[in-house]
Amino acid sequence: MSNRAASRRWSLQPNPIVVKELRSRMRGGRAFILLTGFLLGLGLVGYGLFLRATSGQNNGAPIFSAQVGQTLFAGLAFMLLFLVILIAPAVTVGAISSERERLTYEMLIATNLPSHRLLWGKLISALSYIALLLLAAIPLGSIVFLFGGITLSHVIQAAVIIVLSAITSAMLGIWASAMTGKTGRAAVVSYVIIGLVLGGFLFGAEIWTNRTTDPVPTGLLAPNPISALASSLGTLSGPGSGGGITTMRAFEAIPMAAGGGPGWWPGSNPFSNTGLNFPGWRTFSIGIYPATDQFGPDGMPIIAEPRSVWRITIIILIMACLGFFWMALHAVKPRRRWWPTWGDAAMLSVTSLSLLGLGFWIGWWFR
Amino acid sequence: MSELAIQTVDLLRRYGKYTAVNKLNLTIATGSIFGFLGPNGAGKTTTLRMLAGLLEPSSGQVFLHGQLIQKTSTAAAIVGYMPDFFGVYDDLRVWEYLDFYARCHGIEPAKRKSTVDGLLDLVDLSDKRNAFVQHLSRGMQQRLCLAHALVHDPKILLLDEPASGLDPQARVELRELLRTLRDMGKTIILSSHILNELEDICTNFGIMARGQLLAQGSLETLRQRSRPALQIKVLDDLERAMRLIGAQSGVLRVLEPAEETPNLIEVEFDGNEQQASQLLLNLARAELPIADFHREDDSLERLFLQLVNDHVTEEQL
Repeated sequence: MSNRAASRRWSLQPNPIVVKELRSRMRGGRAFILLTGFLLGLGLVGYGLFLRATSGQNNGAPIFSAQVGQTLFAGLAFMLLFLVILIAPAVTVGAISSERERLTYEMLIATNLPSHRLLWGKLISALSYIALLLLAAIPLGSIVFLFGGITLSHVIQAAVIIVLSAITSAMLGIWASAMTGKTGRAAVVSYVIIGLVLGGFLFGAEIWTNRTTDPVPTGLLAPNPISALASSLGTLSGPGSGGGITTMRAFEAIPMAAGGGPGWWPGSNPFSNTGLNFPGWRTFSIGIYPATDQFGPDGMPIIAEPRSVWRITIIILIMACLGFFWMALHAVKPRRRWWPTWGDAAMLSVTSLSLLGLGFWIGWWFR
Repeated sequence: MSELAIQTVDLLRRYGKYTAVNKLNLTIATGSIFGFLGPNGAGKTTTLRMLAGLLEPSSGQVFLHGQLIQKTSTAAAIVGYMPDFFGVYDDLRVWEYLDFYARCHGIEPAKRKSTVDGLLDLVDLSDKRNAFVQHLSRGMQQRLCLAHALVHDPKILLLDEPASGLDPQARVELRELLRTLRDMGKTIILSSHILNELEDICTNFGIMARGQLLAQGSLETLRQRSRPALQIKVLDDLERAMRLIGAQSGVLRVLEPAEETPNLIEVEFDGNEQQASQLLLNLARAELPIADFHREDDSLERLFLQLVNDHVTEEQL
């Protein structure tokens, strides 16, 4: 059978790995226990955020529904980001290595299944479980719309960042699994890398802000999905809220209600940039709001528009995914060859050109 | 070349400085059952993995039905491979297990069910169709694994130690199954260390040691290379017995007893019956405790040991 006929035959059939993984993954109680724990955790966090967001009422401070919605949305978005980043590798670190460990790997690669379909199957089946978790979280997450304060663009941005982070994280797990051949080792490698990316870059940004007033370099912010999400959520409040009509209306209303100045002055505005009321926000948004030398009437520095590093993060995550996939693809082949083939070079060229073209077309790079 | 199912040309595989397979030139005719013999570390598994396209040779070529194997996918279409140590997906049912491999080989949905049913019937697991794989006995799992290698109806079957770990009943069943497959026109290459099992079923043999093919051909061809031998069991004073035997006429070589049979001396002997009788008489006169004295048959096992011992001796020289 010619290669073209074989690939046409493959394209018409569901991926065997996905079929097998879904058959076996959903057997037994493990998947359902994790799903229950995930939703319970998310629900408890949501309730905690709600209590915190409304706690100001006890002091007589006015609380606006939009403020509660924004805090809930941001808190749940971060919670989801952390959960998917941590769960995705747990689902994928055994993708290849467990096949080796239980001595099924050789039987698998001795079949006609192409290596890329093997990897795709592993990725899709892992992501389908992550998708199940995210879909199950939708009813809970949709509560924020009852409070308002969120625009569709914020939801889409957060969703893109979370989903891409999940895919990259899952791909990292598959790469580690294929490279190390041992599930335990793959887990250590994956979580060390995740720890370095999430914590290391934040730590670097923190040191930078403590040492100088210069803006934190984009290189310290863009590779980190936490900073990316913070930069997206940063537009929920304050200047440059990016067309968040509901948000802007809420902010405009607050100073009048509180008798303060313009809404984008953090000192007087409970909905300002620093006003997202949940633990960790201050840390997550390090370097996102560049300091300015302008001061408001209350003597507090005016906070500048948040930096849109999330756009670059998206590009970085896509490139990281492709890189991990390429390396894993070579690692799972029984006959490993690491020098790039013409196919690899073509894929890299097309991807790079597409991303660059997209970037220039909508001006993402320079915003 | 088309009459050959398998041909290797100077096949060589190195792991660092260690040569696992050294310039192997193997020819296996279509429709034969080829028994691959060799001690542990002889290079049998490495050779089978290269034939299955799972391992790249350091140099040399593999032809399967005349087709040069350069990619795993080329070999996968022609070969069904059953490794020596294999795992199973415990959480799948028996039919799901075969269905999975049928999908991996790209078998069309319309044919998949009949393929799975046919294979379950062939390996006598139809009644276990809905059982979980983990609940099968070792012999059943072995048969299921063999069925997985047949799922795409390959012309060549590579079976690495298929009988290891099986009880006698399961071995008999496996032997019957292999005969059935031979009748179906498959070319079967199986490695095993259970030599008398191979003797019954194989049409051709290859004997490997330390990465080299020492001999190949039918049992008759190989027997022509064997030298007659005597086996003498001496209960005590082994060294004196070996010295005495070595000095007798007709004795070519006295082999050191194997670890598992420390009292059994094997003697390469090309003398006639009178000389054999004289040897026994001399041993008795020397008051050596002889418990057994007989001419060795031309079994595959003896031939195998002889060839391997010769090879080791040559290397030591």
